Amino acid sequence: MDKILEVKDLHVNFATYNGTVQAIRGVNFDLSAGETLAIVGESGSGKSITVRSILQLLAKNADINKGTILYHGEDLLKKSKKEMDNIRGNKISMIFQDPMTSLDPTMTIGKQVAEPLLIHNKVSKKEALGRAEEVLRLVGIPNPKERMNDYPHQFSGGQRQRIVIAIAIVDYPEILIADEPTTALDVTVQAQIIDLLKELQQKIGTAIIFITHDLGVVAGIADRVAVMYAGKFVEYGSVDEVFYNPQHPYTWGLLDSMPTLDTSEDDHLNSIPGTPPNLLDPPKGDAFAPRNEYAMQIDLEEQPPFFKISKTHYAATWLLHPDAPKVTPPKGIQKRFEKFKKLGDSK
Amino acid sequence: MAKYILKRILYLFLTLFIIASITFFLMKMLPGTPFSNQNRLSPDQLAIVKAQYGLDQPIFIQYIRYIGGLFQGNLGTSFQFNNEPVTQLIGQRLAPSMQIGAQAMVLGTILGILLGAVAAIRKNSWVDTLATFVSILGISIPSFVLAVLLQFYLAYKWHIYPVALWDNFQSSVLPTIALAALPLGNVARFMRTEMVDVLSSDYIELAKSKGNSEWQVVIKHALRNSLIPIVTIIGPMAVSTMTGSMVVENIFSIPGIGEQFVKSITTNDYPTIMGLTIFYSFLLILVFLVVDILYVLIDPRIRLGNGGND
Amino acid sequence: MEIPQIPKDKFKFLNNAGNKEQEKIGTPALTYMQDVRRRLFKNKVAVVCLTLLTIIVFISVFAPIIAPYNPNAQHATLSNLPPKLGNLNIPGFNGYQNMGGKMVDAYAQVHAPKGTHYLLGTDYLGRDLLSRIIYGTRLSLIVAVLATLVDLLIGIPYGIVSGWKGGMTDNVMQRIVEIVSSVPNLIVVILMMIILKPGLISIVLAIAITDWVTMARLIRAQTFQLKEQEYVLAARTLGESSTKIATKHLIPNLSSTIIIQTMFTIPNAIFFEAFLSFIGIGIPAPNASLGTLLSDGQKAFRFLPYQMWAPAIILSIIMIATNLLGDGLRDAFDPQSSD
Ligand SMILES: Nc1ncnc2c1ncn2[C@@H]1O[C@H](COP(=O)(O)OP(=O)(O)OP(=O)(O)O)[C@@H](O)[C@H]1O
Ligand SMILES: [Mg+2]
Repeated sequence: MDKILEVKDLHVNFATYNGTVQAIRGVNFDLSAGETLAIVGESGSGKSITVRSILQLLAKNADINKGTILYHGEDLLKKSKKEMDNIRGNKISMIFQDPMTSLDPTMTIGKQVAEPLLIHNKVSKKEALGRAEEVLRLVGIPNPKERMNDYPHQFSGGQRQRIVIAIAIVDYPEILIADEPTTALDVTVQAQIIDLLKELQQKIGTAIIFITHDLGVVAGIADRVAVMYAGKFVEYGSVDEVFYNPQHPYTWGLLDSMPTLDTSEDDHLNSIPGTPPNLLDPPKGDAFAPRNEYAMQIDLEEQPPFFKISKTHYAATWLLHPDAPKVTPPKGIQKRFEKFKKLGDSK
Repeated sequence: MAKYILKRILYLFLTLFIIASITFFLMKMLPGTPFSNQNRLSPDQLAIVKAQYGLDQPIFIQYIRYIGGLFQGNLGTSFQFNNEPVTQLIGQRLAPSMQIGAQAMVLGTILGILLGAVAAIRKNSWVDTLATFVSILGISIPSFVLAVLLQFYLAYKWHIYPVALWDNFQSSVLPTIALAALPLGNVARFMRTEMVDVLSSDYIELAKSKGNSEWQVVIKHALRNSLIPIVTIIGPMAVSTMTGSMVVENIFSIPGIGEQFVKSITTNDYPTIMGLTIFYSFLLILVFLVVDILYVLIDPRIRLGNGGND
Repeated sequence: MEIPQIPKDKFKFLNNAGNKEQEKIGTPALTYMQDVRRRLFKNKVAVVCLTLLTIIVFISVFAPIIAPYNPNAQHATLSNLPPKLGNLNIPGFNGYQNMGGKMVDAYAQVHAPKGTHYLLGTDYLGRDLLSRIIYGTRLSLIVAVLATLVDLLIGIPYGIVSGWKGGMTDNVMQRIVEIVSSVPNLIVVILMMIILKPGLISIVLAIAITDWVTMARLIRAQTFQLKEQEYVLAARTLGESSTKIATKHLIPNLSSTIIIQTMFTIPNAIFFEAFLSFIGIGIPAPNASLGTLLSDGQKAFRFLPYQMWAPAIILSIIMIATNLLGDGLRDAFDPQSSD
């Protein structure tokens, strides 16, 4: 598969009153046409900043001080403002987190959905509105023709999120970035939205970067998963690899804190103790070490490199070093390993 | 909506009635006669004059008469100014006041919006600092201080504008500037806050992610959303412009109602004070009413939502 | 991929399992008020304004000691003298005046006793302008402070009662507020000034009678929110008396609103005093206030501009400084509102 997007060694800093926040500290990943990559991690781990860097939609105090973001081999970070405007909403578009506040309250939704077309494609206003109507129907807004002239406040939260999605896909983007598109919605609506995204992906062949801190959602939609912690990826691989053969203790923690169908009554859910490090002054070694039950001396001194587990699966933990002692992961994870074996056997 | 407006109009008249009543009795409570300035009148003459104005009647009768008169649009007769009816006084003097008031508000609002918008867009830059500085000056320096300074330099020393004269547009420039400073400062500050808020909102992010350039975002999305709330400060702006006009008209000798009001205060011309008080209140309550209706009309969230019908 | 060589002993476990509760790393927790103060003092503009205001207040408080002359003492022969700064020959401050196109030593002309000099000159009655400005500022500040106090004394209890009681009481109280605020401030103030005897107390009352409404509104809105807070609910369930709840729980939480609003009430009061005095119904002669000084200055402005400049500048400085300090305080209390 050809890689349409490659992010290399991305570093993002924020200048604040208290000093420089090192929000992203060396992130690498790539995206192939038509695939879905999920990025998971706790709140504040840098998921949004990572994807916003791609579109350069960062706060004014942000500074992408290192790295490249190659889109079809061209570095987006070197593009002019105008070239970036041409990419946004056209080639790469984004779905935001909060449907309640993401729509302009004083503009009819028809116009809002048609806007990207008018900006990029130079189609007539009439055509654009026609296409907007079509896309609104596609995302499941009933009576789109009549409702085109309504304002956002006249729609429910779920409907607004569908409208936001309509805006993102109206121009058939090559890459769709969905930053927690379902967090603000209730569970049934969440499921509908996820199904909608999958359906749309099949129809228009978009690659999706899907951000969430809800691992439950990931299994249903993603091809690959990246786990993020304190501004870095700590583990990435295919869904099965990350879900059933996780290697990083942080991934273990995340998975352990997630209810699954397999979770029986007496398996209590563990949340990861402690809080993420202060990114104003990130630790020298592994950022997860202070919260890591399996932390070793080396974790305090040196950041772990990525160790290869399979062709597609990597994790950054010293536990994978050949000299490291063998550890027994939590019970829930051991169950997952068993399942992974079965998966492998059945293949 | 119609019901709401009707209710508001009813409320307007009720408030006016209360204001009129309070003013009336306050004026009656005043010690001495309104003619204390003309103390050369003999007791007999005084009695005649009093009878002429109906001041020999019991207070209650006077009150009924006064309120009755109000309903016919009669605000009483001035003690000074050749016994002119107050309505007529207002009629003659309304135009200049309205002109400079409206000019000042329009000028202040437009400049304020521009200044506030630019400050918000270029937040924390020198433009922002400059805009903040200008608006603080506008808010802080009383209009009469500004008026006197303008008069001294631009009119008296440099002869760019007439010192104190009322004939053409030229003569309205300085009073307009003096009065526009405050609305300019207020609107600029308000606009900046609103716009900073709007610019950091999610829907602006979304607008950017659609590929709008910085200016397209401002023009298509940010401006309208920050402008709508500006409507809410038109009311207070009218109040402060009215306040300012009293002295500014005085300083530039403009034959307006503000100048008239100050004159009647210093000459104890009670009927005129009462008449103008009621007139001013009417005007301002009307402005507030119109602004509220306007707000309902331009904000889609209220227009089509559940507001407006209670 | 190359696997780094690491000494074996580095792979010792740290036994993190035990310490599940991690210590939070970060800036030491400051109390809210300390934080507010820190933010305020970090704001250069606010600090400058605070300093200026402190100096002005200091001078006003010690006016009797600082003022070089009695502000009301008239010297018919020494009227309208220009500013003179000792024997220094600074243009504009050397006692010279333009008379018929020539600079003339005004002090010599009126045969002022040797060594007489008025820093800011004298007015039409030969009163020392500097002393009058010092006393005038003092009076204006007194008006502002008193008006603000009355404003607080009415507005805070009114707002708290209205917000706390809610229901019918609140309804009635809010209607009253609506009526009061639908009459233009200035009209009420002017009517009050006509009815009351001119003087300090009247001005204070006239200003306070309209100003408390804003305060009451803000306090009511906040009280409504605070009422539902857990600690207040707890205090209520524990049967603490209303007064105690108000003073112990409400007022401290309302303090930021009160302080910020006060910073906007003060310039407002100063403006109204100046305004009333300027149109001639404020502070009665011979006492000086910034308003009366401006009014006097305006009459002589064409020929003796210095008489207007000094009070105009002081008034503007006070207004600018209070407004800016108000902004600074708001940012300090509510950091989200800035940056
Ligand atoms: N404008 C900013 N100034 C300073 N720090 C910032 C700024 N924006 C983000 N950060 C910091 O960057 C880090 C990453 O933020 P980010 O929004 O990417 O988190 P996230 O993983 O998306 O979390 P969530 O799941 O809550 O959305 C956080 O620690 C945050 O405090
Ligand atoms: Mg996020």
